[in-house]
Amino acid sequence: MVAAWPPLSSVIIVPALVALLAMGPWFARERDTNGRLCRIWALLGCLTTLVLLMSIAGAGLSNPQSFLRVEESLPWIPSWGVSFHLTLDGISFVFALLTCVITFAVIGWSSKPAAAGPAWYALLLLGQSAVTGAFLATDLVLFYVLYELMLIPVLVAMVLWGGVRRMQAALKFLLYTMFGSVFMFIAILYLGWQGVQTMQQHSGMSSFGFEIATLSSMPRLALNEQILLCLCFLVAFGVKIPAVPLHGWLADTYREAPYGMAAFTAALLGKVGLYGVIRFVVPLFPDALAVFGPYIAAVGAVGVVYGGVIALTQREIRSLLAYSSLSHLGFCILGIAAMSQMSVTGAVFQAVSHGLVTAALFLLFGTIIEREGASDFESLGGLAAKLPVTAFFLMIFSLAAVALPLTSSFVGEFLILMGSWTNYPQWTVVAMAGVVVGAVYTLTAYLKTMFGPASDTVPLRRSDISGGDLVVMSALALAVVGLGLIPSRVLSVVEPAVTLQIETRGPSGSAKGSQAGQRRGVEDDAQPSLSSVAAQTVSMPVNRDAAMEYVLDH
Amino acid sequence: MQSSQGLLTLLVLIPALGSALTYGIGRRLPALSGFIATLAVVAAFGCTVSLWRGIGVGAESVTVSLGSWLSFGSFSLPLELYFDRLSAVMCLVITGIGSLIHLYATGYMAHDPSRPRFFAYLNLFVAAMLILVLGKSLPVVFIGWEGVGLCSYLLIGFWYSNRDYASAGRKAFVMNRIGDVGFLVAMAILLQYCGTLDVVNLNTPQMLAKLPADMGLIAGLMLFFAATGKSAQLPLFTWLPDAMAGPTPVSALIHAATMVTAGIYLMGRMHGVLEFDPAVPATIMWVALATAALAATVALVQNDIKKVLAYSTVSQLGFMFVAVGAGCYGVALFHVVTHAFFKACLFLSAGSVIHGCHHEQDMQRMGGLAAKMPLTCVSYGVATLAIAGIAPFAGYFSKHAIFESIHEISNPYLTAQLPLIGFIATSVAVCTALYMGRSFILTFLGSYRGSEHPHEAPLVMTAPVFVLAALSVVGGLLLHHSLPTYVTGPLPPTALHEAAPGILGYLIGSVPGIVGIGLAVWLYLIAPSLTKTIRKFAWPFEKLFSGKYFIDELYDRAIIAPVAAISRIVSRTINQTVVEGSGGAIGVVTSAVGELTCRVTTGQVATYVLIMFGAIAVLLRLFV
Repeated sequence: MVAAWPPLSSVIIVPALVALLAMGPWFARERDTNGRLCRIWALLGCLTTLVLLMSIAGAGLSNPQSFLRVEESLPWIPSWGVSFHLTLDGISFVFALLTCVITFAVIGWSSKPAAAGPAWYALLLLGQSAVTGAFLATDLVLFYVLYELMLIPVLVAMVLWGGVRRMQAALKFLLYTMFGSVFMFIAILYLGWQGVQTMQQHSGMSSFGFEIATLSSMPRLALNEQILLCLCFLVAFGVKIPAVPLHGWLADTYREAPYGMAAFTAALLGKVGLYGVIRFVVPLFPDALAVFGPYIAAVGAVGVVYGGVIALTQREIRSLLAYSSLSHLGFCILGIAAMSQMSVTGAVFQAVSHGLVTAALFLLFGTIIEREGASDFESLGGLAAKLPVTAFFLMIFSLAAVALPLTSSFVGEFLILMGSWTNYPQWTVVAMAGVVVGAVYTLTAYLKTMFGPASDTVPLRRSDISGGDLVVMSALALAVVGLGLIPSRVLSVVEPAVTLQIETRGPSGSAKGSQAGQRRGVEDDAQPSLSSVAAQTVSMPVNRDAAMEYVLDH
Repeated sequence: MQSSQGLLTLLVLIPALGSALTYGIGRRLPALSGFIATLAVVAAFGCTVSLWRGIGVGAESVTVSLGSWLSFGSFSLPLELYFDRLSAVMCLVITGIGSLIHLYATGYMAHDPSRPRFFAYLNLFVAAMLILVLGKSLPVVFIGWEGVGLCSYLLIGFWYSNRDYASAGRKAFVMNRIGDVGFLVAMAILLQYCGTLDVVNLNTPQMLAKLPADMGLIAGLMLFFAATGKSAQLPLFTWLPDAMAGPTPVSALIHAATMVTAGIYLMGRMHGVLEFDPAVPATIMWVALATAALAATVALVQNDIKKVLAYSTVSQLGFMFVAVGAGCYGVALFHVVTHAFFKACLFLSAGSVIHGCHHEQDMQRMGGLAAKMPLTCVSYGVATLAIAGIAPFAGYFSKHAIFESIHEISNPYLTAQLPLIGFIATSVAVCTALYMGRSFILTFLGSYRGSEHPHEAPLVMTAPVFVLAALSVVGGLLLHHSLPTYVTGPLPPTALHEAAPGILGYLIGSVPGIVGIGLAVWLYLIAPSLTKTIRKFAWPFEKLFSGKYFIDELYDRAIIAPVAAISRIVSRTINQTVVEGSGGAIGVVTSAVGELTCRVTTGQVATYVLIMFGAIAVLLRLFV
């Protein structure tokens, strides 16, 4: 049978293909002196991916009755039961969309490492390809491969065009993430082997299977096994997100990487970790999560305050951004740990919002650092009068970072805090204290760079953002404010997927779901309460016609 | 009905769009910016008046939904605005006083090059404040709540090239943020137990019955804590005096007439939750009295004319919270309104003085301005009499109503201490008249001590001031029958005792004010040498007062310094050595393993064979 054009795979393949072509002779330095052609080519590639993604999701999004779910499975290594299985549901859709937007923004941002040619765009596109893949993969092995692949562009860019201490930083980053993912790899193999055992018992067939749907529908593992395996996954994802205390690589990487790549890394790589927890850990190890829940919540809440407190002491812009990321992602961890529909939806939303905000901040501050030739607060100041447009956008994103209402971060944090309160009030209060700390360090950073009299030590060669950069920043700002004003559209795409994810199995999930149902049921008797929503989602796999679905089995 | 919903939408949209328009057009035509901004607020005032007439005639309230804000699955949180009598009063104050202040600002800021930015912020502030008082659910209120915090941050730090001013803005934002944690906790509790955040529903007995006793208490206390941030009460009031770094119209708009009243509004709006446990009103009462007394005494020794007014605002807000603690929300709202009249008048008059004296704020370098700025002198004088509580000026009626409300207290925690409460409140009232009298005398009477050439403000500034002065004269008389009872419905009924009618009643009620002003005249006009004698004996008090009770220092030492120290320690020790150092540890382990492998991989076949057989032996032992 002739395979139809696999739409989901093309979302991964197109950027990679565009990246390869970008390295071709067409964009060599002698033909394309200022790299403009190559950028346009890369932007076109990015745009094509976006269009592809939207057209795949379009049908699922436009129908309010159904929810988005597109699956696609191609055989990959059949003898090991590994397939190229991709799923696009609400969660992976918003993350894939974020990946497109961020890549587009970083490529479109006019300033890039001086020495970098077409390779810069190629690396970003390869990164996009791998990250998007990781967000779509529902086969554990495929996920693992892409999870590791996405490191390569970051490391290469860092080594080629990074700061003075780039080699050390790159090594540290590599060691940390490898250290984490080794555990995950072992756990994945164990799960596969476990799958073989069960299969043999039940059907006599012996084949590996790494698909999340298969694995999570099998009889549950013993609690001890779950706890060990869950820990393995959590360490891997904890390094990547990063969660306290696994964040040792964070500041060095963000400081030494070229800032475009730092924006890409900060905005996207950690999100894969969060995504991994929601997609794999939650359905695979429900009992272990019931045990770990309070600890994960603690890690999240402590991370909020810890990251904030460390950020208070930073004198260097990118380190401050790094620790503020640690703080903001703590909210997401708390939200996921609380496992309520509201908090997990909030966590996904907050992750997307943080991606947009942090990328914008890295691009803006990176440009300032580049233009001023200094990155410590002591030698900056008084820039608002000279760079009014930069000051304007920086204000918007700083306010988004402190989660002012009507910005996207507020929606995320609000849902996380309200949703986590029921289960972990003590940790929610700790995280709320982080809101205050966040205001202090963010406004201090703004104060020290933008306000005050202009410092004399700084050379006077400045230009404000304009042209293409203005378009990029406006787009990001519009996204942040738009998501803050009308988040419902996105929330209602994410929420069914989240509900399905946290209620597919496990006593913890369903118990909390019904608890939440009781709570919400009170709120409005006329409206369908959550319990009915829960029932609806449970019946979903049966009633699959309602859900949009292509399963391209070959 | 349809039209009133449209009006309600417009009411919020006009200032918001005005802000954008001012900023957009103003950059090309800065002269227009003040005009556009003022027009926007006046238009909003028009909308408010017409809405207010509407609810008087027909429907008791107007609700409009601007869309589903935070709705997904079964959770629904629409962006709804709600206009009832309580919000009507607030909106009238915000847009009415706001228009006058905008008009004044067009004169005050006429020569500032960044006027467009200023007026854009000012309009944005009005929009945020309107959202605050119109929000139908707590999160929508929170939009405005944070919005006014943002605007005050932007406006206090408006002259940002002075880093101290910018820091004052940051301080305001952060102190408000601390209060916001209380707001968030309260929202979380109410959402968990009541399942709704709708401000109207929450105060119904059915909803309150769902709250467990301890949680109801916490929710009430947390709401009050949030209010102490916005309304500058202990322990979070320290931002307000620093906020005087902003241009004077900002002080008038934000820190006198509107933003600081947000806390009072919230208390009124959430009265059901507050009264869930009588311990909450009792707490409010004591905190309010302490704040009022503290701020009034500090105001006695300030020399900066704006600082006197700032502390006076804190003190007057304390009075409003006394009424809240007594359960007379209508009275508190009445004082909000009269205070908006005379405090805006005072601030704008002070602004005229500062403007006329070429940015001099120190009262010791003023004096004798009555001759040079007669109009401003009259307006400041009238407002001084009003705030001192002298009949028949506006402040007399609201303050008198507050004293009356103290007698009405039935709170079990408070009934035993009624005389003490009455005594403190009266002393503060005397103090108020004293420091206001002092500031008037130092500024306008005596002989001029400065070196500038003071001049009267232009008409565009004096005209709005005179409207406010007129309101300070007649506002109380006109409203004291109607206002406290008008808001019954949204607020619990206020049992209002008539002030003893006739001249005698007015005289008796004005005694604290007369005593205070008399003292001021005696000390600063008739016998100035006496103040020196008093200073000789009362210097510890003077030190305490002029040091502002050292609360800022206390916070610096007890909170900021420890937090900074802890964060430094955590950053240096745990983060740099343990966490970031562990990367090094991984490196060491990896290289050690590498070393070991190198040793084993010698390239000698004999070693490999040995290892192989060893391994086989072990495996056999294990599995066979």
